[in-house]
Amino acid sequence: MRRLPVFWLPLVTAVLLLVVAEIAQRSGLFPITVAAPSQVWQVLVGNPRLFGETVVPTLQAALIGYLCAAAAALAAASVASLIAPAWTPIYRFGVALSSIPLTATTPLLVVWIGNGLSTRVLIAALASYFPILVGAMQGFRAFESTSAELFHVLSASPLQRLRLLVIPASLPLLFAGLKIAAPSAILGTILAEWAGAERGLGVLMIYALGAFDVPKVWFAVTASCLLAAAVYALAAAIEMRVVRWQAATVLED
Amino acid sequence: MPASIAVLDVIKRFQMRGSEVLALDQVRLKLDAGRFGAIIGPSGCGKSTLLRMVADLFEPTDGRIDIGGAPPSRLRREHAIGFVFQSPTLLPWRTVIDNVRLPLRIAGISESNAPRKPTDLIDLVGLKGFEQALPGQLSGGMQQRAAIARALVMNPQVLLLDEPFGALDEITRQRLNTELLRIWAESGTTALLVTHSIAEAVFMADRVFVMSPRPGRIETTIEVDLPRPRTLGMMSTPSFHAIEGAVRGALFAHEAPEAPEAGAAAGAKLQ
Ligand SMILES: Nc1ncnc2c1ncn2[C@@H]1O[C@H](COP(=O)(O)OP(=O)(O)O)[C@@H](O)[C@H]1O
Ligand SMILES: [Mg+2]
Repeated sequence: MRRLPVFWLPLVTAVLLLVVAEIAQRSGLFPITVAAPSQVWQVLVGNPRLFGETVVPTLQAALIGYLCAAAAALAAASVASLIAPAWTPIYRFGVALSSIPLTATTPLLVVWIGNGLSTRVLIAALASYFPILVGAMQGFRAFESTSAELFHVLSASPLQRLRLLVIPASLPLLFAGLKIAAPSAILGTILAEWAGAERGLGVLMIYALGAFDVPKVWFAVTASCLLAAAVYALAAAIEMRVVRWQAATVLED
Repeated sequence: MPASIAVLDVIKRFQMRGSEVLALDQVRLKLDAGRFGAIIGPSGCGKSTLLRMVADLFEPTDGRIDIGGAPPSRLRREHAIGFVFQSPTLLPWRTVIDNVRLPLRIAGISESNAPRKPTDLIDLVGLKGFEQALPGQLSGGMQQRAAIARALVMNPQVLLLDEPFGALDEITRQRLNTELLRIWAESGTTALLVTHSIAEAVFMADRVFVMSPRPGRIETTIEVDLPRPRTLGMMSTPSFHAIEGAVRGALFAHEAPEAPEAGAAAGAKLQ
C-alpha cells in the first residue's frame, strides 16, 4: 500500500499537465511555438517509420557506447584497485576526459572518424565513462576494513576475497555510477547526431528546427527526455534486483 | 581439538609517521588447551594488538607466539582460528545462514562434511527461525550471536574474542556472556577473550591476564578457581569479590599510593 503513491502521484500529475497543456493550446493561450500533446502524439502515429528512424538508432548507439564505457571503466577501476600507484593517474585521466566539453570534441571526432556509428558510440562512451569509473573505483574499496581482516583470518584466496567481498560490497556505489551514466549516454549520442548523422533523434531535431515543424521539434525533445528517463529507470530496476540487501528494514529483539 | 596458546616475550612496535611506537613490551602469556583466558587492561594498552597477532593478522616485532606447538600462520591456513570482532562484521548481502557458512565456503568444505552443522550452530546461539534473515534485519546482539556461530563452524582450535559484546547494553551483555560460556563449554575449544570489564573477566575466565597501560605488558596473571558452570549468583559471593579485588589491585598497582586512600575517604564520608 505504501508504495502506491510513490508511483501514482507523478503519473497523475503528468496526465493532468498534459490535459491542461492540450486545453491551453487549443484555446490559443500558448504561442504557436508550443505544440499540443495531441499534435506531438500525431507525429508518432502518423509516421509509422519515424520511431525506427529516430528513437531506435539513438538508443542503439547509446547502448553500445554505454556498454563499452562500462567495460572500460570496470577494467580501469580493477587496475586502480589492484595496483596502488595506478589509482591517482587513472582517476586524473578520468577527470581530464570528463572536463573536456563534448561540444568541442564532437565536431573534431566527426572530422577524424566520420559520421558513422563508431563516432556516436565513442561520444556516448565518453559521456558515460566518468560516473561509472568513480562508482567502480569508490565501490571497489567500499568494503569494511574489519571484513578484510575476517577474510584474512579465514585464509581466503585473493580470488575468493574479490568474489565474496570486494565485488558484492562495490555494488551500491557501482550502480549509483551506472544509473547516472545511463542518461548521459543518450545525451552524448544526440549531441553526436547534431554534428552529423543519417538518422536518430538528434537528426530529427536539426531537421524539424530547419523546417520549423513545431510538433516534430516537440516530439524529438519529448522522446529524448523519455528515453533518458527510461534508461535510468532500467538501470535502477536492475539495481533493485541485484542489490536487494540494501533495502533491509530494522527489527528489534 | 583445542590447542594451548603461548605468547613468549612478544614485542610489538608500530611505525607512525617516521617515529616508532612501542605498543607491547615483553608480553608473556600461557593458556592451556581447552581453558578460557581473559585479557584485561585499560584501553590503548595493546589488547587488540596482542589478539590480532595470535590470529596471525600481523606478526610480532620480536618474540614468538605458539598455538598447540605451531605458529599462528599454520593454524590460520588450516582454517583453525575462530575470531569474533567487536563489531559483528557480517556480510550484509548474505543471509544469517550464509554468513555462518562463509568459513566453509572459503575452506572449500561442503555442508555435509562441515565440522559443525551451520543449522545446529544457529540453534545453539539462539537464532533459530532467523536463518534466512539479512544481518540488517537483526539487532546488534543477534548479529553478534551470528558472528559467534560463524567463528565456531570450523570447530576451531582456538576461539579469539575482541570485546565481542562491548557495544551492547549491560543487560544484553550479561545474558550473552552466560550463553557464550555455555557455547564454549559445549565446543571444548580454547578461548581467549579481550575485555575491559573486571567482573566480565572474572565471570568468564579460568585465568585473567592483567595488562599495564602503554606500553602494554602482562602485569599479573590471576587464576580464577570458581567452579563451572558459572552462574550469575556466583557474582555476589565473597570468593568472586576477592578475585575481583585482586584484579582491580593489579590494574591500579602503579597508582597504589593514592587509590585506596581516595576510596577510603569516600567511604568515610558516606558513613
Ligand atoms: N596499525 C597500527 N599502527 C600504529 N599504531 C597502532 C596500530 N594498531 C594499534 N596501534 C597503537 O597501539 C596501541 C594499542 O592499541 P590496541 O591494541 O588497539 O589497544 P586496545 O585494544 O588495548 O585498546 C595504541 O596506542 C594504538 O594507537
Ligand atoms: Mg581494542
